[in-house]
Amino acid sequence: MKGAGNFVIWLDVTDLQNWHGEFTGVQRVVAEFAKRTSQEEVEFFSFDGSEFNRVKRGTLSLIAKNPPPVATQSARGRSFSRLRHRVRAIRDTGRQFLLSFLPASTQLALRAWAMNSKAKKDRRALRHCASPFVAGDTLLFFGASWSSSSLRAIPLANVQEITIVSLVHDMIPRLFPHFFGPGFADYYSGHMAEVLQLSDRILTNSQSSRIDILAFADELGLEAPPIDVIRLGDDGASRSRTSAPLKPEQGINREFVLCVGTLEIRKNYNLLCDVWSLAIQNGIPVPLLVIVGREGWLTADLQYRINNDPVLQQNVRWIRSCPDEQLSWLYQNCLLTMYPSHYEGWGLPIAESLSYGKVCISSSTSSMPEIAGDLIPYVNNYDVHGTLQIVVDLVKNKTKRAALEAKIKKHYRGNTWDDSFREMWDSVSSAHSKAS
Amino acid sequence: MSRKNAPRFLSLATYPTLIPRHGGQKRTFAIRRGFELAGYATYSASMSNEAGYPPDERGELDVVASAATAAEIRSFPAAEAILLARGLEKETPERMAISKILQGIRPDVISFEGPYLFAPLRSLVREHAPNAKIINSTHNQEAVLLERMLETTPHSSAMVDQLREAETELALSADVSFAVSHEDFQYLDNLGAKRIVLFPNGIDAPHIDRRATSRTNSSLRDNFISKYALFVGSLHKPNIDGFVSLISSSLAAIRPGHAVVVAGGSGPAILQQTKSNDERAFGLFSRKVVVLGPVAEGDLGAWLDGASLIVLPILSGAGTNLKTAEALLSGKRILATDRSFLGFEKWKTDPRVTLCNDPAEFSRQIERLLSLPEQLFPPVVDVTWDTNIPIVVETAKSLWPTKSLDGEDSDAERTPIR
Repeated sequence: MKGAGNFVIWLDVTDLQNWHGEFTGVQRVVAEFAKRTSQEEVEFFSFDGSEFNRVKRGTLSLIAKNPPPVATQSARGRSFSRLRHRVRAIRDTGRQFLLSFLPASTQLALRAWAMNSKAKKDRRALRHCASPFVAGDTLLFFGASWSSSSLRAIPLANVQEITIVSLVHDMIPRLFPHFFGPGFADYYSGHMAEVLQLSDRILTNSQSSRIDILAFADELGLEAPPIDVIRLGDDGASRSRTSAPLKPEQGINREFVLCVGTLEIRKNYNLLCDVWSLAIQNGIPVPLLVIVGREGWLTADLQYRINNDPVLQQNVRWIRSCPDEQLSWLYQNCLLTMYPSHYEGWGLPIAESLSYGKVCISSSTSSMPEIAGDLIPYVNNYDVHGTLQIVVDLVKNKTKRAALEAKIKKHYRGNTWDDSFREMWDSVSSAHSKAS
Repeated sequence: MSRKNAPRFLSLATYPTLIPRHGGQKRTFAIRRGFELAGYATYSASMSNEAGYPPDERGELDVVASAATAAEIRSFPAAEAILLARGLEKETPERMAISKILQGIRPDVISFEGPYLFAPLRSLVREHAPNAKIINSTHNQEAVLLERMLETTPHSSAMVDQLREAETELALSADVSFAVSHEDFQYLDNLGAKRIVLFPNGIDAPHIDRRATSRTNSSLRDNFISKYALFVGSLHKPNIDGFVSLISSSLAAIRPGHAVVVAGGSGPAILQQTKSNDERAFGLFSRKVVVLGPVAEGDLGAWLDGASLIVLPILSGAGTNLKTAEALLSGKRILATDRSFLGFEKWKTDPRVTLCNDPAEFSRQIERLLSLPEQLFPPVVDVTWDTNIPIVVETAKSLWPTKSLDGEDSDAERTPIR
C-alpha cells in the first residue's frame, strides 16, 4: 500500500536472509506475512550491520531453505584472490621503496596526512547509516530485530517522521532470565525498552503478552504505544496438505504421543521425560514419545539423558528437523499431543494440534489457555504425577479421547495464516494511514 | 639572583608528578610551576605505591613504598594515603630516603600535598630545614571525604579522627594554606589556618588526536549512538554515587540513538554499583551507558570534542572538580548539579549551563539537551592553569627568604617550624 505522497511500507527481512533450515517461530511469522504482500504494497529491506539495503523480492526465498553448503570458493575465485593479494603486496613494497628515499620527517608527515584524510572520511561516514527510507514511510519489524540490531540502528538512519510497527512475540527473557544464557535477559530488556521508545504501534500475539509488555513499560516509567493483539496462523503444517504426508524414518513403530517445539529449557521436556520414566518404573504401559524440535539451549543434561538413559532410548524419539510433509504425518497419526511449556507468548504447537483435531495436554500458564479455552485438559507444569495420570487416562480411554476430539472439531476455531495476515495488515494500514 | 642561589621549593606528595595524569598530580605540578615562575629552584618528591605508577612516571626523588605497605594498601585501597604515611613513621628505608632528600635540598619552602605526610616528616623537616616555610596545599576536605568513603568499615572512625587531627595540625602549622574553593577556604578558616589563599583548580587545553576521533566514532557506531552526553570521572566515591543516583536510576528517559559515555576510573565502579542496586535495571544500563574506563589523554580529547553534552552529576564531596573546568573549556552544553559548580559559581548562570539536582528529572534533561541542535559556546579560558598560576607566583614571591641589611640571609621574618 502506498499512502498519500507515495510513502512506502517496508518490511525488515534481515532474519530471513540470515536463516537456514525450516522457518520456525519468529521467522515463520515474517515469511508468512511477506508471502502475502505484493511489490506494490510492501518493499523489503535488511540491515547488514552498517547500512539499510533494499532487498529485491526475487533474491529472497520465502520458503524453507536447506542448510547452506560449506563455504567454498571456485578455483577461479581462489586464483583471483591470490592475484589480488599479490598485487597489494607489490604495491605496498613499491610504496615503501619509494618512501625510503624521503627524509624520515617527510615520511612521518605523509603518513600523518594519509591517516588524517582517512579520519576525515571516517568522521563523515560514521554515526550515520545509509538507508532507502524517506519521511512518511512505515517500517515493520516483525522478526528477531534484537539479534540483527536493525531496529536499534534506525536513529542513525536520520530519517524524520517515519512510522514504526513492531511485533513483540513475548517478554519471556525479561520475566525468566534463567531460561536463557548469561547476559541475554539484560540485552533483551535493553532492546525492548527501545521497541517501546521507537514504535508507534506494537502488535503482539496474545492478551498475556500484551499484559507483560504493559507491565514492563510501567516498570520503566515509559508510555507504551497502542498494542494490538493479533492471532497467529496455525495452518503452517497444513500448508503441506497439498502434498501427501510422509512418515519419518526415525523408527516410529508403535503408537505415539507427539510434542513439537525447540529443545530448550523453557519447553519443559524434562517433565515429559520424568512422566515417561515414572510410568515405566511403575510398569505402566506408555506409547512412544516423539519430540520434534531443533536443538536449543541449556538442555545439555536433557539431551544426554535422552541419548543415554536406556529406558528413554526405548521410549523417546527426538527428531531434530522435520519437513512439513513429515510433521503433517506425525500430527495426523499421533494419539495426542503434549505441550507442558513453562511460559509462552502464544503456543503455536497447541493451535496446530487442534487444527488437526488432536487433543493437546497443555500447561495452563501465560497465553496457553487463550488458544483452546476449555476444549483441552491442562496440567501443572511441575506436576509429574498429575501429568502421568492424564496421559494414561487419555491414552487408555479411547472413548474419552474421541469425545474430546469431536468437541475440538465442533468448537475449535483456528486461524489461518491468511486470517492472521489480514489482522496484521489492518493494524499496519491503520498505523500507516494515521501517520500519512 | 642566579639559579644557583635561588631559593628552593620542594613539594611532598603521595604520588609522583613527573607525568601528571589525575587531578591531584596536575594541581601539585601547577603549584611547582608557579614557584618556578617566581624564580625558585623547584623539586618534587613523593612517597607512593608502586602499583599505581609505572617506573617511567617516577623521578629520582620519588620513593616507592615497601612491599608490606603495598600489601596493606591492596587490602584497604580507600586508606592508601594514610597507609603510605604510616610507612614513614618509623625508621624505614623509605623514611631514610626522604631524610636524604631533605638533607640534600635543604628547601626554603615545603609544600605538603594533603595532610598525610606532615606529621610523620615533621621531625625530619625540623632537623634538615628548620627555617622552611610550610605550605598546606589542600585539594579537598580530606577527613570529611574519608568519613563518607569508609562509612561502616570497621576501625574507620579511628582513621578518620587521625586524619582530622593531621589536617588541623598542618592547617595550624602552615604559613600558607591553598584552598581550591570558597567552601574549602571556610573549612580551613574554621580549622584556624593563619593565611589562606584561594587557588582554584584549572586544566590544560585538551589535545585532540585525530586518529582517536576516528576510533571514538567507530565505537559510537558499533553501539548505534548518534549523540552522547559525556561524564569524565575518576575512581572517587562522589563521582560514583552521584551518577548512580541521578542517572542510573532513570535511564528510560534516554531515547535510542542517544547515550551517556563514562570516561575514567569511576566507570567500572558505576557499572558494578548499578548492577548491585537493581539487577533488573541493568539491561537498560548496558544499552544506554557506554563505560570506557580510564582513557588516554589523546582519546579523552576526542571524546570531549565529539560530545553534544557534558554531564556533571556530583551530589557530594568538597574540593572542586577538574571536570567542571574541562566542561567549561570544551564549549559544550553542560548539565550539572549545584555542587559540581563549587569554585566555579560565577558560571552557573551561563547560557550553556543547565542546573538540576533532582534524580527524577536529570535523565529527562539529558534527553532534552541531546535533542537540541548542536551548539558550540565560546570556551571559558579562565579555567586554565595558565590563568590561575599567577596566584601561586604572587604567593611564592611573598614567601621569598629575606636578606638582612648586611647581606646575610635573615630568618627574622620566618616562623620556625613548631
